[in-house]
Amino acid sequence: MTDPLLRIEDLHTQFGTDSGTVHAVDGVSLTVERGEIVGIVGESGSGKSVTARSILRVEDPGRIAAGTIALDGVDLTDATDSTLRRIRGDSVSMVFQDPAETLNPVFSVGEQVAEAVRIHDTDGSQRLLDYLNVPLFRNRSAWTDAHERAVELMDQLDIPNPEHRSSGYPHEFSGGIRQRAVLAIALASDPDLLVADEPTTALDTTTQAEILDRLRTLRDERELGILLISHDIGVIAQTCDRVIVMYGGKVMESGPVTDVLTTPEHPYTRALLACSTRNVDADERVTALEGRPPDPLGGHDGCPFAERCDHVTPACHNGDVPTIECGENHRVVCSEAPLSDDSAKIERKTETTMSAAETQPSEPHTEVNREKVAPNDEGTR
Amino acid sequence: MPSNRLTQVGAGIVLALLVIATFGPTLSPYDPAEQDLQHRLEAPSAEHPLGTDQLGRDVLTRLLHGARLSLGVAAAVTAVRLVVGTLVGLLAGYAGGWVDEALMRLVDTLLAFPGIILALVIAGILGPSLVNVMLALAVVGWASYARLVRSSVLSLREREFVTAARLLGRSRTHVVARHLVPNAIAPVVVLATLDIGGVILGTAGLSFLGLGAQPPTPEWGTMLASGRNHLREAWWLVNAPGVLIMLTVFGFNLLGDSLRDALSPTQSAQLGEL
Amino acid sequence: MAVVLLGVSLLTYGMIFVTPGDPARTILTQQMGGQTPTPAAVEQFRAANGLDDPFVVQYARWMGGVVQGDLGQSYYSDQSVSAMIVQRLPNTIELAVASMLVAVAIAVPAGIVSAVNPESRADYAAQFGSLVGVSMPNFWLGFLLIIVCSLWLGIFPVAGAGGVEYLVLPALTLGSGMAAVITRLVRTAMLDALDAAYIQTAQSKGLRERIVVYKHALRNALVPVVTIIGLQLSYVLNGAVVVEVVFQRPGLGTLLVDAIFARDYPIVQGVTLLIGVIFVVTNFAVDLTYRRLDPRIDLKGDTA
Repeated sequence: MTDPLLRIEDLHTQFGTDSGTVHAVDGVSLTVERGEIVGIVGESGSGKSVTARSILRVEDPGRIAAGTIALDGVDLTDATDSTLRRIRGDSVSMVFQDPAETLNPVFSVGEQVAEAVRIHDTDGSQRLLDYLNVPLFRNRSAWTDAHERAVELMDQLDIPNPEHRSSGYPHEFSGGIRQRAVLAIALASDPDLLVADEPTTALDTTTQAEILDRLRTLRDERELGILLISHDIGVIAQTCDRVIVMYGGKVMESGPVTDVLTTPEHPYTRALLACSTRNVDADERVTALEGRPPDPLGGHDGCPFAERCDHVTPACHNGDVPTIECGENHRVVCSEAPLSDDSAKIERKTETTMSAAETQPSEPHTEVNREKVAPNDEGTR
Repeated sequence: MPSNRLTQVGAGIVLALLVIATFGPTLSPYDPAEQDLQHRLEAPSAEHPLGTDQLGRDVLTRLLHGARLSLGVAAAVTAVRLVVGTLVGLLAGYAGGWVDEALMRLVDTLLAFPGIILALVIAGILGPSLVNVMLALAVVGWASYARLVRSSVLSLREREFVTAARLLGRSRTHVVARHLVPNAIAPVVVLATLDIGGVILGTAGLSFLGLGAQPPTPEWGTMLASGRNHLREAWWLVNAPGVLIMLTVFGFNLLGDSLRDALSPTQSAQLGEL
Repeated sequence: MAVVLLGVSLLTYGMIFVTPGDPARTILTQQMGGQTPTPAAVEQFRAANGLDDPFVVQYARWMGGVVQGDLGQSYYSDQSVSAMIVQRLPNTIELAVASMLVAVAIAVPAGIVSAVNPESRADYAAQFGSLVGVSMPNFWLGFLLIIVCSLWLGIFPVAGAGGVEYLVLPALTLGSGMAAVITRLVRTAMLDALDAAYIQTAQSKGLRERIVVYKHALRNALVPVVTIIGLQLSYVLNGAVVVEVVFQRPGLGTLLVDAIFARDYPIVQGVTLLIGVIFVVTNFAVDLTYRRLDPRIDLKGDTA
């Protein structure tokens, strides 16, 4: 078997703080194949975003304490700066959450896309004066080409009137256009892997659906592997092939989207699904789960969800938690799994949710989630 | 450098200065005005740790006496600035309308103009004396307090407890005195601490130019100015007061910086606008 | 802006009238070396200088001249105030520009190094240095430089004006104080910029760290820095007065100080007004630069 596009093994990314070491990512393993969209879902603080950043090695101020991140078999955790630059410029691109913040406000959008094109085109050295646009030191023809390519890319991403827009500044555009521009920057390097960290969270629902749709066509056209990070199960269900559920820096459950979302075997996944059907906001969801999120200082034994879990046993607090295979590629990290025959209400709920999604694939999942449910008529207690 | 250690250094310097200003003059072995023409411009020695000046007076003694003067002047000027500025700020913020408009125009003009030059002109017209310098520095320096207090008042007057007091039918004076002043005071105190260094520099600068304390008053700036004619043969005459002025201002700046860091974000944002 | 200018002119002109005592008498006393002038002499002086007219008339007459570039006549010298200012202005401008250059040359690199390596030795050194610089009275620093560089080492002339050698020490004196303020600001602005999300975008494009810092971060940090550098003109002018006196440079500052001691009010008024005008104009220029540096400003201006 050949190497997968991305293979992360036992990744530990930590942050040193005044009160101790924060184990943001605590032994995560995952793979992404070419042409596959893998989702990571979890609440804020679950370590999903830090996992994403670690791949591009922009985890600063955190640091990778252990584990490997292999891209086409090449380990990135000990790569040199120039190797990393090559990889960022050629193989992996990243899209961050808020396009209002991720585009540089003082440069035109076209300039920022063209810059990414130039980085991809030039092997080796990037000259400061060339990039600073100092007249005599700037390679005019190369930049003109890069600008042309930038306009093309913007056009491919359905930015209307791209030639005109490329000279505009980020603040002049709507969130949707900005995020398309960010995608254009990401695709300028013709990457094999796209890491998208909450790419649609800051956008309205219509734009969100358009962008997610775009991601799927990109995957089809380019054999692009995509790692999509979201707190929104609807987004994941709508877009991904496989899903990884994270909590407290660890993977709780992973598997094909249909399996995980129809037959969730981890108590946390169930809680998450139950909450999302209540149609609450991302931030509220955290409080909607009973109990406190895990101690961020972490790094201790046992299951991080034990404190809030209603299936908790004394064994959950200590030692290694077993990984249980409960379907093809469907794994659960829980000593009580599989939870086949309790919580009938949740079963029923998720079944209706999923069947709706299956029968009407074009219908965004969020629509189903939006059905009115009285806040207290069900739950995880 | 950890910031808490800087705070300690700043507080230590300020405390030491206060001690010097209080006890220094009584402890000093010489009379600050006592001339001894036989021993003029003597280099630092065991007898005169910081040497003697062009009239044979002990430099250390004069500096110690000057500490009381400098700190006293700085405290007085800052206090006048603070009181005037606070009153104007309260008035502008609470009255609103054209009163606010007019006062803030004045504040803008004062803030836009180079303060020392304005103070120089005012003090110059009033005539050279320490009191006139103090007056001039007070006149040019209250504007930043007024703006700070005004912005505090504007943000506070919409807060519930002020509205509640007004609805309860409290008088304006009551609302201002009991609710607005106590809440606006913390950033003002920080500003004052940061301002003291500037006042000391300003007083010394104007005195140096000859507008402030007149010889033989042992004012630091005046002492520095009279040392300028003896740069070659008596370098300690300008450097002793120079070092002392710098240390003093440094101490107050350190203290002010750490106090500002201790303020709440909104309060320091108001300070930052100045 | 016009309001501020008018306010400055009123302030500078009116100040002399609100001061206690009769200006004519004070001036004559001073001119005569302390003797009390005869009432006739006072009358004559008042008539000659138009001091008998009401304030409004005098002010209007003065302003009428001002808009034509006529700031009046010195009480002592035969020269007009404008001529004296024109003669001295180049020296002050030279000093101001040179010290700005010194300040920027010190502060921008120091601030960047400090921000790029936070909590390093270099950072602490820069922070400590700028605190000391802010606390340093520039008249003392001037003397210190004179003692070391001129008297001990003999590299630069002690005082006066002329070639570049006369400019070095004054510019260093004035520039280093300013550098202290600007360093702190560059550091904060750079830290803010480096913390922004667009820096991560730039990094994840595969851009070299140098380009990330000097293109993406610095360009954003420049926006507030340029404003403050412009507003530091206040500091330059304040400081120029003292520094010119320390180094006995014939400039606006020495002109003003001399005029104040001589009670040559037309010069005091003229110089003060000029400084006010320089001020307002600089603020305006800073505003324009600011707009050029930050494309967002125009939009804000439209909506606000």
